[in-house]
Amino acid sequence: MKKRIPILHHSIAQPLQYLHDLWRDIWEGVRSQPGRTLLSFLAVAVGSVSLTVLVAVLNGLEQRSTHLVRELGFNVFAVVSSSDRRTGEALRERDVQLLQANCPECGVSKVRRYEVKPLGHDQAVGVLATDERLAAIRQWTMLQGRFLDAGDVARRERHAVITEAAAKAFRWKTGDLIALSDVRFKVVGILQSTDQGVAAGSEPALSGGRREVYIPDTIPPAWSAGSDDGDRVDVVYVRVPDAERMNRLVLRTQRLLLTRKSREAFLSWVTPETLLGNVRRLQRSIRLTAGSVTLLSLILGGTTLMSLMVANVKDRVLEIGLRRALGASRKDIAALFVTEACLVTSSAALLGIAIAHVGLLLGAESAGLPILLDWKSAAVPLLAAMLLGVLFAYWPAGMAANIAPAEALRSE
Amino acid sequence: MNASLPILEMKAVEKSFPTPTGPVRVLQPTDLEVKAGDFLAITGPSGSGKTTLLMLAALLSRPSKGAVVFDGDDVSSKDEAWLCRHRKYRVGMVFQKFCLLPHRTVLENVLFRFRYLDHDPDEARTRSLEALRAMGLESKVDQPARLLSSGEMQRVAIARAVALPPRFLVADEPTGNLDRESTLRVMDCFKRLNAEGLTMLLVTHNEELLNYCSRHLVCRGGALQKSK
Ligand SMILES: Nc1ncnc2c1ncn2[C@@H]1O[C@H](COP(=O)(O)OP(=O)(O)OP(=O)(O)O)[C@@H](O)[C@H]1O
Ligand SMILES: [Mg+2]
Repeated sequence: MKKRIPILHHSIAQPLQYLHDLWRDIWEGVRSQPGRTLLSFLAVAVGSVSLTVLVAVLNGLEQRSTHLVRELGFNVFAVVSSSDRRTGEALRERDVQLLQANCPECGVSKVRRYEVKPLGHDQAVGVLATDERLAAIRQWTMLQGRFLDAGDVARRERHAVITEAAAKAFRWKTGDLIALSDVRFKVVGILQSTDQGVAAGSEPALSGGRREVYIPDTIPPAWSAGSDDGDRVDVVYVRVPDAERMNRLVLRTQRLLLTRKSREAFLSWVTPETLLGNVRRLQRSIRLTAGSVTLLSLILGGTTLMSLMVANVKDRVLEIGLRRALGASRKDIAALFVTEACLVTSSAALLGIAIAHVGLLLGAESAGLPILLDWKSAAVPLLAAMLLGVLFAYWPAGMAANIAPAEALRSE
Repeated sequence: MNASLPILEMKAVEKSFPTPTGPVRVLQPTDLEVKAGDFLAITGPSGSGKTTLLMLAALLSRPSKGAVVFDGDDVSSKDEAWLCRHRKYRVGMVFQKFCLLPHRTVLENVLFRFRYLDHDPDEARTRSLEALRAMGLESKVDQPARLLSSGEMQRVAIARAVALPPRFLVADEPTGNLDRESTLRVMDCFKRLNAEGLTMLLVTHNEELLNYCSRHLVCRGGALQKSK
């Protein structure tokens, strides 16, 4: 008969006990190597700051690019005319008809732009003479009321649709009569703003979030002295049926409109690609520069961590022997050191993430960088730090696990 | 419990260590049988291989040749998990070098016995305090281990081993640093545990302690001999 060792009973305090034991074990290592621990802590914290900033900026740029595309409208490109008063060169009504006739699969809408001071206001508002198709082509949604319809355009109804920004700035509501110069228009709808100024500085003819009034382009512009302005077109928006046909249709419209060399001077094409070009370039260079700084500091953190762990293992050989003699498995020993490394790196990461978030919240505006702080800007650096901990503690932990207990217990 | 059943058998066990000048055989082919309930003492000159032998007996190392049989199981056929399980509950060792965690208190050092066991913290505490009292250390409970005298350290190491007594306890010169009074206290504790069923294997230089033991062997040049 084998004598049984009294089996002790579990209790509710078990998880607490476990955490306490774990904390004591890890503290043993931290106190045995305070200098090295601090060093690897700092290196990982710095790496986490730069990784957080990197993720936040890349996030911000990604957000900016989706805003830019959304602002233009998905699968939309624009032909922008910067009409030249001296030569009288401009995009004309017949150009639009040419496009419509040759691109039957596309939606085409045109805009003519004026700056007008509403009666009783000092600030000018952008008045955009357009057709009923514009809202659908650019996928706008209405905040209130409706967009201009075919009837408005055909019957030259003095109806106006205003942007949210204009409604706010001039305190206009649907149903109001607004006076543009001395012509009165009835507000029939308010457009939901597509953007909160994220794209400020992008193509002016395209920016949403502006104070604008849309009116039927069949109404003669009483505020415009120049009479030959009548069939000038400032922007043509073309919506292609799907993204694949975008490039082909851009090329086709270029062939149709750039009939003379001189037209290249004032006609430009704005496509999602040209809009995103700048953002993509910025993303690439940031990823490269900030990315390599981040990588370097994380690798530096990793190597100091590894030297910390090696020193730690060497310092604690006797303790390792004792643990093994008391029943710890190789895995327990390896886990001890990996956990310790992970705790050092993840607490350093938490500090770095916190510093970066506070810094970005306070200073992002002035840096002029688009910043987006979300779960990713915290989770990515934290996961990276934990991975770093596991990766660089793996070998020292394996070394610790392979120490023979009898040898360890002989060591001084 | 059948007292004649061996708890530990060593059959032609050898142990050699690799050194820069080639392997050195520290233990010559050695046979040893420890029966359940035994209180066996081993004496012998320094460097004769006593600690090496105890490490084998405490399942902390494996023989280079021969077989170590614990409780009927040949250790060489068993894996890590088996060894870990046995080290948790069945074999314990009092180390010649104490092996205390210097920054932890006396009580925490004794509680460390339970670190890898499923245990009730309250019961572990009660048992640890009891063991410390038996060693006459109740006033030092909260003192960091590094500030103890070596005699006190030695008694903490013993308290740790007996806080949850295993079936088989191996003690490597447990009284080497102790005064007479403490030595007797420790031996009384061992004797009591032995009477309760604990099997003891004791290495000592103190001839006086042989009175406590049921058997006595001498280790000389890596081989065990009957005394006289
Ligand atoms: N890992 C090892 N590598 C090489 N030699 C070793 C190793 N371990 C022990 N030895 C040698 O084995 C011999 C016996 O050592 P051991 O510690 O068993 O002696 P001991 O009888 O316990 O001595 P003491 O009474 O002084 O404690 C010593 O000469 C020692 O140098
Ligand atoms: Mg020895």
